[in-house]
Amino acid sequence: MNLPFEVLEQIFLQLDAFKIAKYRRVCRSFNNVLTAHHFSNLIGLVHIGHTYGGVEVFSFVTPETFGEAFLTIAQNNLDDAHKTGRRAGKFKKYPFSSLKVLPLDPLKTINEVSLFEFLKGHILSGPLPRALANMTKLTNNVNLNGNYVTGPLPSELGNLVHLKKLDLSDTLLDGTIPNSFGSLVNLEVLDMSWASLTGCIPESLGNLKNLVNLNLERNKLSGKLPDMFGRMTKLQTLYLGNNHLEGPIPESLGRCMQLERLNCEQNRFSGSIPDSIFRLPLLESANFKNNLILSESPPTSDASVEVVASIDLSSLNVASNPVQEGNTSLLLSYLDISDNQLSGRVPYHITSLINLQDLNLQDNNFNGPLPSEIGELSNLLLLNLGSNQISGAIPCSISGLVSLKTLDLCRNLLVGRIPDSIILLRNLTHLSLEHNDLSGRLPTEIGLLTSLQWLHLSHNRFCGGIPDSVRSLECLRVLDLSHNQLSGEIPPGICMLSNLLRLQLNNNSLGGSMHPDIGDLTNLNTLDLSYNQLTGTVPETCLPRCLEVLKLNHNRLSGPLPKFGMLGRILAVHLNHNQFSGQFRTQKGELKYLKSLTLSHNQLSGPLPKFEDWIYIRTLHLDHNQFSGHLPMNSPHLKCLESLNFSHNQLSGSLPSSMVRYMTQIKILDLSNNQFSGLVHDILPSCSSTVELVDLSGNQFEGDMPESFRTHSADKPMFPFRWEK
Amino acid sequence: MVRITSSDSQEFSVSQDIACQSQLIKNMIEDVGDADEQPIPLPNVAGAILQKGGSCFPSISNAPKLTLFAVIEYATMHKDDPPSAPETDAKPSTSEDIEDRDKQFLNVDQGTLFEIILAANYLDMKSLLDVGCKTVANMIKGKTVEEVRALFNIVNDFTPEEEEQIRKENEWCEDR
Repeated sequence: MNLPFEVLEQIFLQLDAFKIAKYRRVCRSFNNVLTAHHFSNLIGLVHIGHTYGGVEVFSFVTPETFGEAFLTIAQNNLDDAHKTGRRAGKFKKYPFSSLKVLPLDPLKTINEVSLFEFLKGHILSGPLPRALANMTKLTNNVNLNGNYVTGPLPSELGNLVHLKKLDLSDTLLDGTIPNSFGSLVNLEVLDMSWASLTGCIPESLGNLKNLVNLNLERNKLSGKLPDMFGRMTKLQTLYLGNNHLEGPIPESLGRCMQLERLNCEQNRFSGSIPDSIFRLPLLESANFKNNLILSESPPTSDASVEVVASIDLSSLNVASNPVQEGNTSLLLSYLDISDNQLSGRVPYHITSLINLQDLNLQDNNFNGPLPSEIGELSNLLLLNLGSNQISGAIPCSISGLVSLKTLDLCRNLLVGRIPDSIILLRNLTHLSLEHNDLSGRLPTEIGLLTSLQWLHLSHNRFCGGIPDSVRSLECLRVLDLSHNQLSGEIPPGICMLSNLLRLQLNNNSLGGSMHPDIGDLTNLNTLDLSYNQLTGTVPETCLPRCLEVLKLNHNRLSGPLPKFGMLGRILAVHLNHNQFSGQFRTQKGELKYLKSLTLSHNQLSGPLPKFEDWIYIRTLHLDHNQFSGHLPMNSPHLKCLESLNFSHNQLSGSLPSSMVRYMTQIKILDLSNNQFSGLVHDILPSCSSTVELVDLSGNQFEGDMPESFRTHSADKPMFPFRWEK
Repeated sequence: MVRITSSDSQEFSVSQDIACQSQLIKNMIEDVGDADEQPIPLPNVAGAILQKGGSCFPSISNAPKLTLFAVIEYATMHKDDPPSAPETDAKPSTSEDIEDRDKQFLNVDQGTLFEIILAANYLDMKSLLDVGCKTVANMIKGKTVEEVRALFNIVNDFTPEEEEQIRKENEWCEDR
């Protein structure tokens, strides 16, 4: 049968595309035909299963991709996707013997677009065949977004020169971006985000002069970003975030006059941001968050420009540089350069970006005072300068930021008072000034900031009382005034802030007693009043029902213990170093989520509770009280316990023989200075490597020490016994 | 009339609309112009010997056919067909739809069939090539690899390893 290649091809084209693959085995010439051009083209799609959600799953097949191994991979993708929580859902694969072939026959489908139309609503798994590149009629759109296609990007895709839109985002594709993609000169949209691409971005992409949107974010691309944007004059969005790109941000970006959105976040870009970027007339959003952009200033030809930071924003100053007017990024509303290594002063000229809404410069090394001109950014919604070394006072002009919702100046070196004018920022929902060196009284009228939800003023040197007006902050969710020098009583108005989730007034000098209405804070989950000078009793019924953390330690509270056993969600109770007296009682089933209980240094007495069902407890400190009676612990429930301190009580009797058996995590066991007696050797059989301290001294134990401890000491240890790692 | 000669120097005169069913001849005529002093040589098409008896068209069923002659016969048979629309986007034809007269025409021994297909390929006669390929495709259809080899006398020129590799790749689709 000496028919030429093209005739054989003609013959096989007459047959069912799915039934000819087997004839590869007839002879070499058959095999050559059936693996070349037309037939390395898609033979079709195989129906490999469906998700339980009812979405059908297909794989591309070509003669070269045939085989069980290939289909197994395609099926496993879906299983893995289910395990890693991608949205395919649980996958029901068809048994290998009954795979269904899709009736659609792309080989004979003249309208290639219909293939991708067909794929809508289905899932595609398995490798992307090189043969896709033969579908050169494709013009509009290849969209594989959200499919489970795997493997390297076939460089043959560069043949699809008529393509206008290529969306390979949110796939399992890996490998590098082929150089050949530079041939896709008609592309307007290239989206390969959320895949697993590696390697460098090829310089050839610079040929894509019709690109409007380029999205490569969330891959593993590395190396330098080529200086390739000079011809991309239509580029409107460029997303490069969350890769491993390094080196400078290319100058040529400054020539993309249509650029509206630029995202370079979470890379390793270094050097400086070209100032030409900030002159792009249509730029609305620029994000350089979390890079290694340095403090050095970019070279500038204009010697008169004061170099204030590594970003030379001075060119934006319309007023002082009228030549540039109309040529600056006046539309810029979002600028994020947080988490870099910028230093120097906060640029004054930033204030000429009059449309700025979000300005985030946190986590840099900016120093010097805040420029008072910052108050001119009246459109600003978010100002974040946290975690820098900004010094000086907060300028009164801050009240000019009339739209501001978030003001974050935390972790700086700010001094002085909070300016009273701050109360003019009526839209503020979030005020963070913690970890500074601010002092003076809190503004009396702070209650006028009625939109506030988060108020963080901790770790400063504020003094005086907490203003009564806080009662008006009805939206407040977090009030953290801890670690200051506040004094006076806690204003009862705080009990009216029914949206509060967290109330932290600890480490101040607050006096008086706890207000009975504190129980009205029905949403409160953290109450920390520790390290103050509170006196009186804790009212019987007053604790908020949703409390998870209760810290009243280091005060002068007295009377019976508060009824924290009733708090169904309580995780931690710290009441140590007070003057509580009476007994400690709990019912079975109470405190079942408790992780930490510290009642040390009080005047509690009576027997210990049974600690039943305390399966999560890790820290149990009841030392320095007057508890008496026997140890009740014979239960397997204390298996998470890490630190147990019952020292300095009047407990007696012998130790339960199985006491430590279940405490596999135990590190510290302190039973010293009680009246325990009896044999010890059998209670510590399994003291494992976790143990750091065992103190049984100050009791009346007898007998030998356990073997495991002898090895640590040359002498035969004798009671009183204390062992430390 | 157009004069054409086969590789064994037999000369034929055929009318233009018959000859021009071959895209090749059509192109040649257009290249040469109307001058018909020289016959058009077709060195790749052999066996154009006339039947003894002088009949221009010997009976189809029993005469051993010779390629160019057969091709001309086919062209004559189809000379009044409406011209096929170029590159129809209509539904793709399958190997099933062969006209009865074509079926009969191609009811020949394998060697002749392949000769006709080769000639059609060389002469660029789309409809004849198409019908020839359909005929071969119908012969292949439903047969196993071994049956195909036997039918066409094809020698398996793979090494056992190569064949095994292909068998493995095709495992899932072999007998469907």
